[in-house]
Amino acid sequence: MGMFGKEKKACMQGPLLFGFHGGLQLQPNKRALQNSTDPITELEAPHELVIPLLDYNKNSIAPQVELNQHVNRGQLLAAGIIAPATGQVMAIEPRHIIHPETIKANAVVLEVDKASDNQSVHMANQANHDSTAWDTQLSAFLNMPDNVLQQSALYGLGGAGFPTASKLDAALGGIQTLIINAAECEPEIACDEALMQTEATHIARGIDALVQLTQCRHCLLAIEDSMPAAIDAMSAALKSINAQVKLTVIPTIYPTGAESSLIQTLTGRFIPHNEKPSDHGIVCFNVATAYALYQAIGGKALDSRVVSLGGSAMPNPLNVRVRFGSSVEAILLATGNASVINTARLRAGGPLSGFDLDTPQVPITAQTNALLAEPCITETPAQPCIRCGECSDVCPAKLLPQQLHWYAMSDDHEKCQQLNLDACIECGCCDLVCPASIKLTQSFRYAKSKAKHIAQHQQKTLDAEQRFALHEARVAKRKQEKAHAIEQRKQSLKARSKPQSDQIKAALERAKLSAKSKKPR
Amino acid sequence: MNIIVDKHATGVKARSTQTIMLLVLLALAPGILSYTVFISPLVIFNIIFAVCSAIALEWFAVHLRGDNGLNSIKDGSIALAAALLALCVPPALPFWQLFIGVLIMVMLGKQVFGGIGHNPFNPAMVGYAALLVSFPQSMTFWFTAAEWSAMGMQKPPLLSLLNAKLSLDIIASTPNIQWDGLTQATPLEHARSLRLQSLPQSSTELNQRAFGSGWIQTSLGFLLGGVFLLYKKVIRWHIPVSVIGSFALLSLLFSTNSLSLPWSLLTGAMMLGAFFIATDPVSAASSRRAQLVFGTGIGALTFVIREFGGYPEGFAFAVLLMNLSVPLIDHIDLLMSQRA
Ligand code: SF4
Ligand code: SF4
Repeated sequence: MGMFGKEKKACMQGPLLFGFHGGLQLQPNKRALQNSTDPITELEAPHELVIPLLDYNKNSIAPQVELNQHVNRGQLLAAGIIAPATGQVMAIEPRHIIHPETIKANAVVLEVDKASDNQSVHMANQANHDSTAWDTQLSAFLNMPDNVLQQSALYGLGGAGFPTASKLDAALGGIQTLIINAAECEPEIACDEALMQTEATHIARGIDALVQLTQCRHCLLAIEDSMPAAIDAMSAALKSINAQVKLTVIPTIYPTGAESSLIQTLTGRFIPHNEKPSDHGIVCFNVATAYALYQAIGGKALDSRVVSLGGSAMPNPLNVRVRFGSSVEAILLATGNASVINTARLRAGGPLSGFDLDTPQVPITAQTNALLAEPCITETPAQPCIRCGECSDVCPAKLLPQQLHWYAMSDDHEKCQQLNLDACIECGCCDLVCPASIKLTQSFRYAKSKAKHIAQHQQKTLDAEQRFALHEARVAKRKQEKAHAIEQRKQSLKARSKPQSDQIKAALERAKLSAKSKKPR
Repeated sequence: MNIIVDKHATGVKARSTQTIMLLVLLALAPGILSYTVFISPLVIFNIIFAVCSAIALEWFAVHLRGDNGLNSIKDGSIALAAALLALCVPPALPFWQLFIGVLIMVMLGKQVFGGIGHNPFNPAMVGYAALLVSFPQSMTFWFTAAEWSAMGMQKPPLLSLLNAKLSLDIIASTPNIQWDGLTQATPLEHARSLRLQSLPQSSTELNQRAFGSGWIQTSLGFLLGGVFLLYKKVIRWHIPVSVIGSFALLSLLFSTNSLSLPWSLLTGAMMLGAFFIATDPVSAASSRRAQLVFGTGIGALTFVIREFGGYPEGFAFAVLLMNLSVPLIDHIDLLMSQRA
């Protein structure tokens, strides 16, 4: 716990909550909800969408569409990637993507056909409001879940962007506890709260579908105590459909929204970083993912998400629902926030888990939960560590950031592993309390990516060594075979030459004999 | 430059190293005030002299290293260390000896290791220990304001005392001051010498004497400051509680002194040490659990030195010895937490 009175006071609230180590109480600061009357503003698709051809692991995948091809909203662009709008493929080329470093990736560039796209929106809305159809749709889904999951390209909307289908696969093997994560504890991000305020019934249905699909023993919906409106809406909605879901109000402590912290708060179980929650009979879904599943069951693929526009420099903060592939620039232009593009520092994601953007020409993805505009600042330079231990007091992963930093900076990967660097969830709590302004989290990200590189490199060397060994073995074998063959030839030659020599001998004998017989003459 | 953790946007403002040091200095105020009133106003001059010379020396040392000396002074850590050193030495210590103490503190206590954050020993205690072994006589030359009045003598004017402090040998240079009449011993020393000479010790007499010496009041001032630091969460309870706890426990069980326990906690450097000196984060153990071990060690060693050692007050040596064990304590702590 830090030293400035803002950190969490009680880990326990009610008999059901367990709390977790460390963490900080941060001001929720949800400008996106405070300043506008509508919790969520629907944005029209901009005229250009850029859809990176990357899978969950950021590996590039091959497109399944061609240049100038007309695609419909929901049509597959590549494996697991669908078109977020109706339009024409204008290019398939490398474009900047949303990433801590300014990098490009191959992407499909779509020119949106506004007229037919609007029609698709209209149709989708109609389908959604047909509530009698829900029961049939649900039972169809429960019978054949794979159909829906494959068609709708569901990704987790919590921030990690894990494909929902594979998570569900793990969950189908009999889980005990299903956790729906509505703890949005990072400041400025309000997209889940806004969604719960506006779509409570639909979310409840999505959760209900998850409960029925996974056949879990119990299901917990965790909402932070700082969102009373969302709590009311959700509890009414759950009651109205009689879902077997327990709404649990948890204290607003950063980073409760992190899967491991949330599981610990709700169940008291600490899941080591190298184990999956499903190994412990637990699976977590974000509340927005439950909503996306509801829509998918109704036949609408996941092609948009709610993004919170916030930050102290954002003139018009609000929550918007945008299509995947909309550029940050287009979103800011459409919401009256164009002025920040040149004057402020743009950031994707929250103040703690996000990163700064170098250019606004990047398309948002399922993981982009917020866009912030912050004033340009110069960071305080780091001072020497005074070993105060505040960082380990707040670390939810129970690490020793101060020592880890030391080893991370000196590239001592063995020591980093010993101190459990991999368990760091990069929450940034340690940075927030450090009196010496040391950039701890940054050094951990650096060390992790470096370790990954080293591991990859090692794998490569190992592979090369193996290939070489195989090659050597092949060469040796060929040599041996050759030698063997020669030996055999020699043997067979010898064997053949034996009778020959006998014949010669015999011939000589004969010659001798004949010579003898001739002599007396 | 990509900002990873945007502190600005979270609205959280961590307390800087500088703020921490200034708060600790502020927390010293009540103790310094009682010291000035009940023991000797000379301490103010010692503090000012030590802080100024420490800052100058630090600037010089950092400058020699090729860094910006101002940055290093700004964090306030050397000013704090100098103030602590000045509070540990007797008020009548000649200035030149104090300067040597400060010099050793800055150079050998801190800068040879590379400045703040890198020193394994508590710098103030390095300076104090060096002074104690170099100038044993003047380092045990104590007198208190209360004593002058107890003897019905007029307190020597401040100016002549200051003058004496400027000279090489304080007693020889001030024949007009009746130093002889003073015991020149802290209550702790007095109790100890009685015990060593197997003279009868009356605990009421000892306790009265302790109170009369002004030490109790001063220690209470430091205790007040320590509570303030705990309240402000500048320090955590682990070190002070374990230092005082282990010392108190050992005293209760094994002490042969007739000084009663609260009195022996309040005379000598126990309060100043437990709240202000042992809690120096740089030279203390790192995890909270390891800090309990660290503090317990300091309390126990202080007791052992007071009871069996050659010095009446063992706090400085206890701290230095435990500083020495920090790498070991931290290592064992890490192994234990990895196994858990
Ligand atoms: S890294 Fe920062 S918070 Fe951690 S011990 Fe060092 S100074 Fe304190
Ligand atoms: S960023 Fe990593 S080391 Fe720092 S507090 Fe979070 S989990 Fe702990």
